[in-house]
Amino acid sequence: MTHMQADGETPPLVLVRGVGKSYPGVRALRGVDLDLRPGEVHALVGENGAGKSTLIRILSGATQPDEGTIALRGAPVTFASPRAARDNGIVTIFQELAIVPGMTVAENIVLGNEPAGGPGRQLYDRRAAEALARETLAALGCENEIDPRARAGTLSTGQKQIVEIARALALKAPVIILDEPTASLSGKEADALLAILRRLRTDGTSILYVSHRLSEVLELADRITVLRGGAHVGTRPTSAFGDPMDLIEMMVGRPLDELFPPRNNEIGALVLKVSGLTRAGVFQDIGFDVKAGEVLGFAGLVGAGRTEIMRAVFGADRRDGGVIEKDGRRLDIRKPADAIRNGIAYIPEDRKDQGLVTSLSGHENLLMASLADYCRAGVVSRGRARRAAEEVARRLQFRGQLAKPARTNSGGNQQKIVIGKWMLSRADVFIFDEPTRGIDVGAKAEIYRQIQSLAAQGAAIVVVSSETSELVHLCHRILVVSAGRIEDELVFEAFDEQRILAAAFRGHTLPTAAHAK
Amino acid sequence: MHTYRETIGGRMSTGSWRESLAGHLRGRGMELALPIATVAMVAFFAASSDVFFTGQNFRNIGIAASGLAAVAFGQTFVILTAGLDLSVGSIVALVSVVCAFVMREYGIAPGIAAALVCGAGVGVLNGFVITRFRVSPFIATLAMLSVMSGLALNLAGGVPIPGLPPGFGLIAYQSFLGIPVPVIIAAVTLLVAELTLRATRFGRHLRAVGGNEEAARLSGIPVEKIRIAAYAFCGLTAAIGSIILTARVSSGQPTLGATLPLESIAAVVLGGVSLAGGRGSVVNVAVGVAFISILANGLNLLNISSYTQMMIIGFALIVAVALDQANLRRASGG
Repeated sequence: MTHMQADGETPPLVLVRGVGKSYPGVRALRGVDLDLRPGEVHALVGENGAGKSTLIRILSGATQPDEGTIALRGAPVTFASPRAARDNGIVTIFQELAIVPGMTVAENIVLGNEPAGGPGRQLYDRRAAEALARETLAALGCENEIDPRARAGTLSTGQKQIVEIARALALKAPVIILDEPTASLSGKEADALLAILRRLRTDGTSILYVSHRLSEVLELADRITVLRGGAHVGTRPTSAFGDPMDLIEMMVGRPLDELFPPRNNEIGALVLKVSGLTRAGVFQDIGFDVKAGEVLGFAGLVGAGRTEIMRAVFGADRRDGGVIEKDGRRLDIRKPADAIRNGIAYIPEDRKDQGLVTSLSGHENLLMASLADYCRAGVVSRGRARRAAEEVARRLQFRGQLAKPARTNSGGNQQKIVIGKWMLSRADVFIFDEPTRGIDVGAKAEIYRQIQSLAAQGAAIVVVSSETSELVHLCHRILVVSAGRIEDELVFEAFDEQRILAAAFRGHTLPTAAHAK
Repeated sequence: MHTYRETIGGRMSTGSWRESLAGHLRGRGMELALPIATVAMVAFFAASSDVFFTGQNFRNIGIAASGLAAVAFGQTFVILTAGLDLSVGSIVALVSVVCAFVMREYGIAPGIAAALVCGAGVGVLNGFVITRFRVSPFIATLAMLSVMSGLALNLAGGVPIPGLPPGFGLIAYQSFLGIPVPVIIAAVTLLVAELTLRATRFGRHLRAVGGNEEAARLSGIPVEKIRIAAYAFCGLTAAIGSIILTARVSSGQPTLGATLPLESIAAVVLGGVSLAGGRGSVVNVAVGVAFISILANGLNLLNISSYTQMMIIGFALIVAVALDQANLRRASGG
């Protein structure tokens, strides 16, 4: 808006055409186009699972696309490794910063590209390194703030980020990609970073910028590309968007009514009641209740503390205070086994890392939480266990192979194994943490059907999801968590995605907010 | 309550039998490779030596293998939890000393009982250090190796303990129905271990903990207890191995079993148990034990020094681990 305008005449520096990438069980990216012009800040936005990270990984050489082309200044390129992308002038700064804490700032800035001197040019030239560090830091306007001789480990997160940007600058990289650079910064640090990015743009550097902070995106970017479900929705100049809500509409897409079964309308008695749940620095004074047959949603941004809350209810993480009651009885939950014994099930966010033992068969995974029911004196009654597992698989319309290792099944079928495990443990409170992340639309619809069917059978359901539209169509009530606190509560006649998003951002945009995680 | 849609739900994924057979063979490649290599080795030694392919020699191999077998079966349990027990050798030494002292004073049965308790006790200690203080299994058991070796040498004063009841030696040299007693002991251990892994709740929990500790924890499995139990079982089978070895030398030996950590780990990994945990069976480990024992016996008959044998076993371990790693990479799809 203020700078480089979309005049259609500037040839793109980076041209991405029809790029696609599949992982086992999920098509992460398909037919995505993107062009990055010299000296522009180009924002990449989308919900979780929209394909932003995959696209960045491809551009940074961390992974290779299955299809499509990338051209740099008109010449086709393929990046076999991160090194190849870097040598071509594309430097990516990931959320997980690549800083060696034990080395000095200067050493970090020249890392992998050390100035050499002495016989055979094999000696590290500390002077040249420090001079280069000072020069790049000055170009970023941070020469007074960061000492090239300081140990990188002593810097704040924001300063470390600046060191990484300085490293890109020292390489004279024409393209810098930033993945959620402000996610873990305080308001002040984020402002400082944005100022640096503007400065880089003025100097002609192209910046591809991924962020969940939409107001920040609108403030900084020249153009915005929206991805949804791995596909390219559109690229518009920032001026085409009035406020974050326009952007959100484009990210979320049309309401997906046909995906969602009708809500269960038989709500019963109170089942689970949580009050005063607190864990210092993570979440404070969380209170909520769920009734039989009810689906309660937890909305919020990634890192708002929702997963941590649910893990504490389930006994997987410690809590500093709070009472958990079920059916009017106070529970003493110290470990997952306590929660399971009391009929509480937790279906974790990360299937592969937490939900499944992928090397074991579907049968064994299904029985993992209820094996005691199928044992006599510690010996498993195979036939009975097998029949129970097969019965539950049938009920869930499982279409993989139970006898094979769980990893060989598709994402949707893996999720069914996790749900089936808890059906076998006779749970009546189901906590779903991001149940549909990374699975395709068809499998999502089946998960929604399972959730409503569990509710219809009288289970109390809690769903944590970062996809607001999913919650709006699934839940009876939605609580919005922001920076570890419940900010808002909505009932389904009055669901309002904009209000939910506003509440979700509320705690995080406060300059003092210390972010959980 | 539930809707049944058996027509769809019961169907398994399609695909030609040819594909599924090929997939099966790919998955089983490792499992078949070792028996084939073992058979090939037997054929080679049978052709190179007159005495190799005789009943008496196979009895010798069996007796020599049984100590290692018992230790390796316990090691399997620990490795299934993605752990490692480097202290098995020192457990064997300590148990040998304790067993000898008790047996000299109180007789054979109390000696054996003390041996088993002592072995399992050290195992529990290993498990406790690993789970409670979060010391990595490698370091914890390496340290325990030193502690228990020192203890064994201290107790024995650095010298063998003679004067065991003559009946005890029979364990090593008697036969029952033509089968040497040590082989029977190892076979029973194998049976118990395999049944425990396959049929019991503990066995399944063990593999779940090794396959994905976090998923196991979130499924309500008492991860710490399972880990401690695995090390206890390993200590127990090390004690069984020690009893066999002690009976063979008819004295308490504070330096017994020094090569067992490496040999047992080699047998387990050769048997296709993944060092990453969660995958493997005790029966395949028995084949790994057979491989190592036949190799040692055959090389002896060919007059190749035990020093060279050490080199060969070391190389075999590296090859087995490299194959396991290649397998893991393929499984994770990367």
